Amino acid sequence: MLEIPCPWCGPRNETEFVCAGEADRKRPANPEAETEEAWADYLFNTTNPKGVVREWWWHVSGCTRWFQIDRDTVTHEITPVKDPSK
Amino acid sequence: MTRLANGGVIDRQRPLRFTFNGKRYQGYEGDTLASALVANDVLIVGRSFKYHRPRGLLTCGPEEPNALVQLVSDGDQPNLRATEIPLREDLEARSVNCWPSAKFDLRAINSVLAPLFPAGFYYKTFMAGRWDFYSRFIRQAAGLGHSPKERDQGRYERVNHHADVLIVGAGPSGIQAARVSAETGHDVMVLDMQESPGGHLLFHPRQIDGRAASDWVSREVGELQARENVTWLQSTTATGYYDHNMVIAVQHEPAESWLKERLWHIRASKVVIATGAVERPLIFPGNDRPGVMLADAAVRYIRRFAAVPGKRVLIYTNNSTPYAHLETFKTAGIEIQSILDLRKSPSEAELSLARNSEVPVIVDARITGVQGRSGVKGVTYQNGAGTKTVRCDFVCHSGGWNPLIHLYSHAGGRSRFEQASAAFVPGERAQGAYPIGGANGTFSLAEGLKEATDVANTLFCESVGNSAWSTPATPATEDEVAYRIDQIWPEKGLKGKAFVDFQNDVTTADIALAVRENFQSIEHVKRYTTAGMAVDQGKIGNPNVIGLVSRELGEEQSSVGTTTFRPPFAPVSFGAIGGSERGPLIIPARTTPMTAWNIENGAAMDEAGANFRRPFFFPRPGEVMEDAVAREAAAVRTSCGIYDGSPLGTFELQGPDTGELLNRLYTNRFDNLPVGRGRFGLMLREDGRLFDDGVTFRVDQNRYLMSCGTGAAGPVYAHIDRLLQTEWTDLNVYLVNVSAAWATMCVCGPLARVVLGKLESDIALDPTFQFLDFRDGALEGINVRVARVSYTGELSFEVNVARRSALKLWKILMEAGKEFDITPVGSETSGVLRIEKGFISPGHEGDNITNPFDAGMGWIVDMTKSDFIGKRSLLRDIKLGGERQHVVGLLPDDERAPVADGSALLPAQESNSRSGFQGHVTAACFSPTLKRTIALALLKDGQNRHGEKVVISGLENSCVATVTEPAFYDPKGERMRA
Amino acid sequence: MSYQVEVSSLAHYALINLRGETQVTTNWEAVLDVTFPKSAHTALISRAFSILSLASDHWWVRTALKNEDELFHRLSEAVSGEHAAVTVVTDHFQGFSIKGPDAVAVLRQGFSLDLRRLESGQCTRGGFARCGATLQVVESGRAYELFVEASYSEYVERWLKMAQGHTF
Repeated sequence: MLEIPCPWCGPRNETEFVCAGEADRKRPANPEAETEEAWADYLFNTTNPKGVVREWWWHVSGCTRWFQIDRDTVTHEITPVKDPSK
Repeated sequence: MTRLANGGVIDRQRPLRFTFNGKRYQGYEGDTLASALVANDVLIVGRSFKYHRPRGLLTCGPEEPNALVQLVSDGDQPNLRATEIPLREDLEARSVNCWPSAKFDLRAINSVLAPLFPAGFYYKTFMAGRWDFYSRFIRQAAGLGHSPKERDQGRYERVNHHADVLIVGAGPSGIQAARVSAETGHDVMVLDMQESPGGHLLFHPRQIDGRAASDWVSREVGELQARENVTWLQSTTATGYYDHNMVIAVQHEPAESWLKERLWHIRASKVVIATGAVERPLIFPGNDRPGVMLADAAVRYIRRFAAVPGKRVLIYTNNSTPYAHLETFKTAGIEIQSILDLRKSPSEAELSLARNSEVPVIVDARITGVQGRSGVKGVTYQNGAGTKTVRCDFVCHSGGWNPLIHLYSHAGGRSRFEQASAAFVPGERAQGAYPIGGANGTFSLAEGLKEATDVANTLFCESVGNSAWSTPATPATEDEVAYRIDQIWPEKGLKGKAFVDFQNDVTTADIALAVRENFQSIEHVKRYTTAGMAVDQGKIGNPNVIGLVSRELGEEQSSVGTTTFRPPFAPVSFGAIGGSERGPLIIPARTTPMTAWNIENGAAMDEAGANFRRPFFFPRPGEVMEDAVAREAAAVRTSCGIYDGSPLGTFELQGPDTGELLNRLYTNRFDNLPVGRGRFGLMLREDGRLFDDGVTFRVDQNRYLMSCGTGAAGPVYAHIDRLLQTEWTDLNVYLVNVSAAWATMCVCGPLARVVLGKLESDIALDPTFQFLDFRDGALEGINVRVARVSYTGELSFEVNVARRSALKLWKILMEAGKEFDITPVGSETSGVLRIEKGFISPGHEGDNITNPFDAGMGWIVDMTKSDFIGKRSLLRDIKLGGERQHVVGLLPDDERAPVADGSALLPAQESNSRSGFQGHVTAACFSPTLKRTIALALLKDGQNRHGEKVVISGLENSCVATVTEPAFYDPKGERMRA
Repeated sequence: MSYQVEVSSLAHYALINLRGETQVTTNWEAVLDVTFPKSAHTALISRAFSILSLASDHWWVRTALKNEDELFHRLSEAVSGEHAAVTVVTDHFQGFSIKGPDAVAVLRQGFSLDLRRLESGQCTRGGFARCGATLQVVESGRAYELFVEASYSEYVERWLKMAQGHTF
């Protein structure tokens, strides 16, 4: 049972959240310009590192904010990511 | 004499009667079932798993491998350890795994056939013929205990708790750690699995601060329990250590009288692990005979329960611990035959203890056999002087100590082999786990107390960063004999069975066989021999297995290593895991304002999407489902029905960029929707597959109201919120969920207008109120928003009203429609109606593989829009081309043929160009309107095969059907546009 | 035997959901003549209404049901033309009151958040009994109010009965 640090609500059990996957995979600004391979890669592949991955998490049962954390996929050590817009 | 007249914590004024294996006995308040059996001279407590050898008690704790019983008098629970069952009046228990009785077990024939059952025998046998022939017999012979036939009546609770410091174990080091931590004012929680605190001090006569250790325990614990910042739980077992310092513990018999067990989910900043150590056996032929017991266990039975395991004991050891037990045995009136010490030179301190008790010590001695089968008669041993047989009626042995590092390991902590104490002790730390005392391999009481003080001190510094208090002193204890051990393994090729895992009947020969067959990793040896895989999870056996494997391989124990420790530490009841989530609370069932009315009016209720309890149909007396559905459908098609659509998702979208957002979410345009109108929209996933559909209304210039399918509401909300907050952050749109705020009732059928027209209202219902318009107003003084939306294909008015007034309005509509026999319609019926109309359901026809063109919905896809979710993938589908599955209709030749959803489609006999699986039925029903079976299906290249025949092949029925357009009734949609 | 706690459904309350950035918040503050609570878990409790901070741009205004219409219109008009959302969500939620010396013994069965950290007058949102809830602390340790989505109200009523130690 991971404990996720929500930037607004503080640390909460992972069951209050939805993990929305790797944050570095942004939707291409112009999907039609993507080749078939690039588009398929965006849809279906993830980096899945052994080590630190930057993820989006959604505090669906709490403040409903979306935020990013860095999570080590081996140790589950979590580091909050500062919101660049704040 | 097997119960001492004095001593122990039993209450001799409170005798208790109990039954074991059909015989009646007496014990006392304070006994466990095990101690009462010892006091009653019951030697055989069960039969071993594989060989069905008679077994007696080996230990006095939760690590007990032999005494597994079925507790008939308490829920008929199987496989409880007799050492953990508090004795109660009229307790009734039976040994598991023996028939007809533990004393006389017919399955002991397995013992004779033992050579056929070495480790891994089932990988090499039962190969000829069919497995289910063998499995019937194996099923009878295998397994332990039986499942209870009655439902568990106990009540369980699950709670969430936070603590700054969690201390697991209230032995001396745990108590001292609690003392130091509590002084800091932080929130401290202490758990201990025994009924009383004190750990091993409960069983051994020690001195602390010059007085009896039991005094120290009661004073310390009493004072700590009274503190506001301390939560103290006895009879509570910590079963696992999970991520981020979450520890789960089971509290047995909480103070709250209505609860049987409470499950604690504890999030701590630091966890002190003071779980102690358990003694491990020596390995010698006959070490599993009834009457052969661990030395520390014997002392526990004598001191705590005044129960004496025998009259004449032989002690066998490779370490110093049993030398401290001699006085205990003597005071209990037990004759000590001798101490057989595997070592050549016990220390002077040890020999001095033996001299004081007048017990002969025979060094360099090795037991080669135990006489007696259902009890001990004597022991044969070898030493420098030759072989000798001596008489005794029980054997106490000690092979050293295993620190209980389970929780530490669950947390991710590593272990290392400590040569001096011959034990696996905690190594590199993970998370916030701090082992102390026996759990840390610190077997000396004095050192354990000091360690507790020191470690608890650092915790506080670490979490606060200063040390502005004075640490409580570490209490003093009397001198103790230094712990010394020499792990001398039995010679290879022993005669007779020497057990390493008692519960799974694994012997030294099995370990040797595994290594001979080239299983070199300890994880492989474990699985091949099943050592450590039983209910006791190798608590006493695993380190011996590792030692033997190291010897066979010629490697160091530290490089062989331990197997992975996994929770739970001890078995957890399903009741505790389930908590209150059972029976009426098993799912979080959701309701609408009309749910109670549905039930009162006889609806057949079931669970539908998103945990809603839905009426499937409303049977009148004498009706079965088909009758009710036919009647309800007829009402909708020919007069008037009323349907509760409240569970649908409803979201408000507000902001200047809402139109743009909707353009990107839907396949069609929404920024050009006039205010006051609604539009049917289709949403795709990014991979171009059908996601959801629904009608969205434009309420105002910058305000839209979106509706989605019940089951899709959560995913759609998540989808939109994610895009707004992580991708399209520049769009100014607010998304607000108002699904439960609005109730929706659909008045549908040719007479819908007439029925609504009977209500006092300011809403004009004439044909100027067009299909997909909505109008706000009041019906009978109740504010409503009426929309012309149709899910049934008939003239339909969807009345949206605030939840607070919904039931009132529903009843008004029922009353107004009475003269037209207005008919409540269930989900089963609405499903049938939509199949008749061929309305696509993303959940059915979508099936995660269909794009809108496949579903015949190309008309709603505006590929001229610059971008929308799914567009790029549709371009990919178009470019790749190839054969795709299309939505079609199917009409079986036999109009009454039964067809099941999911049935496969196969080529008809006549087809010469196709073979194999062609598709499947997505939704089928008997159509009351068309009076025949109809079905929707996905069929390869279906749009080009209308008129062809296919075979519908279900589990129970097959039939031939013609492929058609996927619309059977009013294909132009004229009726709902009336 | 059961926990010492009184549980009841709340009625006669209105809830108005506000979404807006700083510039529109000042409009609301002007109209209500208050300063909105801006940090996490904080609330402003006054006689006429309470304002609960639920996120950096998200508040609830809670008032008596009879004031629902009037308050909704005042708040809507205050931000007309601006990018803000004012929505009546009274019917979307059902409120419950839990009070007594054993209130936390009941709540901790449903909430996994750290209740030690919440003081009187504070509020928060979190997972609760598998359906989620908004929690208001009336008196820390003794009196709480919580709101769940209205479709869960029958389930939560049953859940609270069970959690108290009653049978049904």
